[in-house]
Amino acid sequence: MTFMDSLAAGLALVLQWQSFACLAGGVAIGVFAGAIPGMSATMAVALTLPFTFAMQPIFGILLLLGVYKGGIFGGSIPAILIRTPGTPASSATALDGYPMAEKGEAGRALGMALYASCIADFISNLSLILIAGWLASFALNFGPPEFFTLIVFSLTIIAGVSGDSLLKGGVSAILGLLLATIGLDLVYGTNRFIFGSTDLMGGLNFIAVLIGLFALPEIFSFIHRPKELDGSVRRLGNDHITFADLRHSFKSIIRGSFIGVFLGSIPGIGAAPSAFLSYAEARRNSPNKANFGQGEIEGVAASEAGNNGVAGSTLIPLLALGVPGDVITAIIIGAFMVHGLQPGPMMFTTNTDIIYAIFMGLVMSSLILLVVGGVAIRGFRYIADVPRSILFPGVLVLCVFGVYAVNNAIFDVAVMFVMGALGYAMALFKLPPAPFVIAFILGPLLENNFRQAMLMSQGSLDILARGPITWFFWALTALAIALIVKGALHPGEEVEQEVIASKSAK
Amino acid sequence: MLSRRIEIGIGVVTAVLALLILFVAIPFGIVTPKNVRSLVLSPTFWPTILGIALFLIGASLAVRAYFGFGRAAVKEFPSFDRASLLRLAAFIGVIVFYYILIAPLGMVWASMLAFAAILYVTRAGERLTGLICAIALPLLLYAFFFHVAGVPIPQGELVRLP
Repeated sequence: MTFMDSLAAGLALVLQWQSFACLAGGVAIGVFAGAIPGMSATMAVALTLPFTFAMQPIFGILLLLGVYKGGIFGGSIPAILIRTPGTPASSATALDGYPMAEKGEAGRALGMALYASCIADFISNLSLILIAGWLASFALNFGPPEFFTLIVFSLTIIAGVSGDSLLKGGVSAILGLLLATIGLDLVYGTNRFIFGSTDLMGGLNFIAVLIGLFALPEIFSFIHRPKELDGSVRRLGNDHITFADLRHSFKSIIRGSFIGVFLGSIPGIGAAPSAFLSYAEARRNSPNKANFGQGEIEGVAASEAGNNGVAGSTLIPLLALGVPGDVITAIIIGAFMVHGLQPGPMMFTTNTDIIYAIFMGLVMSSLILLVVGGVAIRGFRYIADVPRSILFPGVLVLCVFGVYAVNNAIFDVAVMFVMGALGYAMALFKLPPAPFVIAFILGPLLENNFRQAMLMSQGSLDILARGPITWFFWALTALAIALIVKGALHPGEEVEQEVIASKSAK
Repeated sequence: MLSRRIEIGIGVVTAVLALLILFVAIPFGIVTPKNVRSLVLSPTFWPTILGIALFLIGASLAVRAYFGFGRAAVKEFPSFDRASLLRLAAFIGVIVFYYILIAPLGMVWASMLAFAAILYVTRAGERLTGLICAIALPLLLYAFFFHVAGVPIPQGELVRLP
């Protein structure tokens, strides 16, 4: 298939009214969910996933991508209007957004957040389109040893940067890998950790695990402290964003977008560090340095650009290598698998139509976000009024129906409940859930590639360092461990970031 | 980082869990065929490596906390008063009964009861709105999954929906 053929096939898929409807619906759901403190983009994507089972693959995937994009922007609305970030990545936005709202400039701050988000999202999508294909064609040369070392590197960095320490991230990742070994052995087909239960023979349903880990702990937390949100919603005011505002902050938006693209393409980093780094760089380079933290519009622009700059680039490792870079892309990989698609280099040769349709859909999503975001800003008062005491029981019921719908198995509902309790315990003891879930998804791939490599080499471990690609990934793994350990020994910058985040949450 | 005592506890529990995996779960939970060509291809190899790694990390966590390595700020462990513990216990009871009731009552009716029970447990302020949602949401989800997505939602024995 030539490039033009692929492009035409992708266009044929994406230029259908259902594609537009799914994208627009997804963005709307995402903005709505992201704007409710306590909900998150992750939770929204996980809860939407079961509704995509009955759809064609491309519509389902576009719906989820829309939810993802909308959810990231949606978090900025409560961050600005009630100083309660809807998502962790929006904490930096509250630093200048809320002081602007206090001055009666909430409309201007939200307008800037929306434009910066859309521009950064667009740049991130273009980066995805430019880099993913090239990376996938390079990854076609990978064999089992190369994939094994790539996954080891990804898990190391995800375990290292997701939580308090590399050790706790390691515990979380190993528990995820162990959970993935339940079921039939990949080579011999014998039972592993089944203990006589036929329900466990096929392994644990990963959607039940995902939803349990990311939706239920929030409900447990609410039950622990069932209080409604306090703090009043600020009015939008009469000030709106002007072209001069946009021109003044344009440099910071572009810089933040590229910071987001770079950090987003590395598995495990995520949107929050990107938003804070973009904010810090904007403050360092701005002539209005002293005004940052007191209602500087450039601060809002930089944080939102950094935050949304990761939205497209986190899909680079997912689509090109089949490795989810964060929790949301881990859920999206689930959607691909449910629809019989396996992201990775081979997808660029076997399902080019879907790849191109996703690319075009993503570019359209930036424009849709501009429209839907504008409406959501005006309607936030109603979104903020959803009582949490009704929202969370509703989420529980939604989870039960959704998880059951995957395999029509009540056993999966039990798995979800157990995972929810485990997720809550992990949250209490500060064990990060991201390494757990990504290791759970990558576990079979890691073991399969390891054992294939061992079959190829007849049991010799030398094959795991057979050429420059494996050396490269081993070197990156060693470098990542060294940097994480160094960071743990000199926690100054991390503490500073936590202080900024806690200030924004107060 | 949590307090030293809790961090030591996490490390010890992790190490004990790893030992249980290595000496109980793997020997009794994994069937190894007799014709395994190489140790690294055995079904027990990978879980054993993971068990050993888990033990080492758990022990390192405990040792690090005991000797006070790492200077990260101490984060507060959430407090649990009697009322919150009772609420959590009641919630666990609700989800256990929710699961048990799905087969005899059907998913829709069990969901309505669970929704209403959580409203009661959390002493929700807007009871009427809550009850309307408790009835409407499961019915709407049933309509979508059963009639649109074609998922056979469990109906139970008592009242069957069209």
